[in-house]
Amino acid sequence: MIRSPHRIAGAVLAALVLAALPARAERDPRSDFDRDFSRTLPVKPGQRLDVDHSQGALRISTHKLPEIRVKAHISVSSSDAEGAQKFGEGIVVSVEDAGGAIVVRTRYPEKNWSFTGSGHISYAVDYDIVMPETMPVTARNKFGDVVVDGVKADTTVSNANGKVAVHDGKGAARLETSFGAIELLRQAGTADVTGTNGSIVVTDVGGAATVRNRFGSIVAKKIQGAMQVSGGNGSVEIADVTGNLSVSNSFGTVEAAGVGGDASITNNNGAVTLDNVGGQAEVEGSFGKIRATKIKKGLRVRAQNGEVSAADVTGPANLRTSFGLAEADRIQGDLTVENANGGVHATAIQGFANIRTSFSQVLVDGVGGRVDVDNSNGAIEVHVTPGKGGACSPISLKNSFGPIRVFLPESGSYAVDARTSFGRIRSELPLTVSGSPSTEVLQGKIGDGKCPLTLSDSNGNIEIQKSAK
Amino acid sequence: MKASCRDLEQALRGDAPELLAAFREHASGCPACARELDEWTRISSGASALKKRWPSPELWPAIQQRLAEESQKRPVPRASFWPRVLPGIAIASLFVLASAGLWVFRNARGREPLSEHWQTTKDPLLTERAVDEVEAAEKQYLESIDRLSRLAEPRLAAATSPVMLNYREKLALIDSAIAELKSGIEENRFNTHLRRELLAMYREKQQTLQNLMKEVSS
Repeated sequence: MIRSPHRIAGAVLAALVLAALPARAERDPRSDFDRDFSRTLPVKPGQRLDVDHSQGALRISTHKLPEIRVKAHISVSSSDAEGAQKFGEGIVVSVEDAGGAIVVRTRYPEKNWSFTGSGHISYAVDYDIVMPETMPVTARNKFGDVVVDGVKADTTVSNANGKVAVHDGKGAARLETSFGAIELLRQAGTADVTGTNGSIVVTDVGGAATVRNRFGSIVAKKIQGAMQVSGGNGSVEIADVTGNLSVSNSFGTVEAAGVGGDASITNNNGAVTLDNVGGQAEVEGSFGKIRATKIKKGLRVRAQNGEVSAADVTGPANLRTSFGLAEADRIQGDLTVENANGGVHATAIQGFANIRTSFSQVLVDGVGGRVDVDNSNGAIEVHVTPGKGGACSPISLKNSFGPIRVFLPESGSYAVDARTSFGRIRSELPLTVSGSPSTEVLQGKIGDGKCPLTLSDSNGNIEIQKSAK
Repeated sequence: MKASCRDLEQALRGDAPELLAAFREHASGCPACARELDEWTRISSGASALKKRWPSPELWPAIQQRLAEESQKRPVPRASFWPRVLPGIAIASLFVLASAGLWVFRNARGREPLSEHWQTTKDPLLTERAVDEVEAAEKQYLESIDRLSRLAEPRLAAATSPVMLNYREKLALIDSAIAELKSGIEENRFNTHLRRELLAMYREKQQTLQNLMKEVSS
């Protein structure tokens, strides 16, 4: 049987309409109500703007006129057309001159009447406020984002369940929100930013900055002043701070580069990378690698269960860690390392090297000053660099259960006192022996014997070798 | 190689197969270690199975795209509208009926999640269809969260390590936000911001639980 295309199309359409009808019958009928509010008020010198809002977005921008323009868009939707209108008309936007401030408030009606249909009601009020650029502002919001642009006066924003963005401001910016991101860009003034569970970005701040966050990342760049950061459970990235920097974090990485003053960083359960610090640096951490480079006025590291590395440090470097390798390279000052269950690798040390560790090896390559190494259960190898004019420095290497190897310049001048219990002592350099030499005790002089060379081992060989350099 | 009860965590790290084998041998004669090993194995396999079944990378951008599409539309008066467009809607419904169960899972090709966008003054209230789709997405997240929570709860209840205590604190914080948003939505069902924030919180809770399970497994 042949059917006409029109009849087939009609049948399909009818079937679809029928199929759609039950679904429509189940769906609530919905009525929308929209209303716009607008008011302009003159602003007297010294007045501030105070906004208290909820359930909608808040945008604040500026102009050069001495007046404030408040626009609000009110949206209501309900299963009850009459109820939607009644509720929408009952939403009050008040803009009042309260003497010291222009006060903007949103008040929603008590929902103490019933709506027909399924009884649902939904609503939002979004603001667009334009105000004088030199007028300070305080804004509170809940369940909506807040954007403030171009306010050249103190700005305070407190939000809940919404984002906060402040751009191109001047003066003190105090921003906080819970459960939302915060963005502060180009603020010619100080910044105080507090978040709870969202990312924070702060850049181009013309004064001191304080940033706190509990569960979220922090990025702060180009801060013209001191900076304090308190984070947790998120990464911290800092760049270009002209003043001192203080960071406290946990369960996230910390990266800081370009600090004009001193840097103090504490991070637990996360790595730390610190680069280019004009002052002194202190780093504390655990369970993460710590790397510090280009520190101008000395470095102090306290770590646990993690690797530590320091390079290009001007001034003293003091490193303490456990269960991880400690590396020091190009230290223009004294080096002190305390490690446990981790190796030590030090190169190009201009001052003295004082190293303690256990259960791993110590390699020191190039030390200008005194060397003092105490190890247990690991090898010690030290390459001594001649001091200025060939001057020597005292060397003391103590070990148990591992060999000691020391490489000396041929022109060196040492008073040798080498002892081991279960091992042998061997010297490549000519010695003037004193006392009764044996395989386990060797005393004597290399050259004039100016500097003490004390080598003490319990269970390992001792070798004195010529430096290849 | 011989292993003892103290080698559990190191053995499960996976970087020393011989240690894991030695620990299994030890566990065969140690009921306490056998229980630990069995629990870790079960959690590890459970977490990876959940990861495979949850399509969130595609789901989230798809919802965002759909909401963005909805926000482009303006409401039209219904009285004069229906007689004219009913046939067109019937035809369009063919497409909707055919694709309703699939569209939320399609790949939106890297669109940003909703939470990346600032709320504008346009369309602060969702359409009913958008709410239906958001609720379908919420349901998916809740099912995944329930499964992950069942695995995570014993670990969290017995948490003593700083990292687990930290997870517990974060989950409690997220739960408080979810409760607050749900309370708001009960009063304001179509509010775009509330819906968007709640979905973002569900996603964050799911991710936090997944990270927790990875932490337990590693």
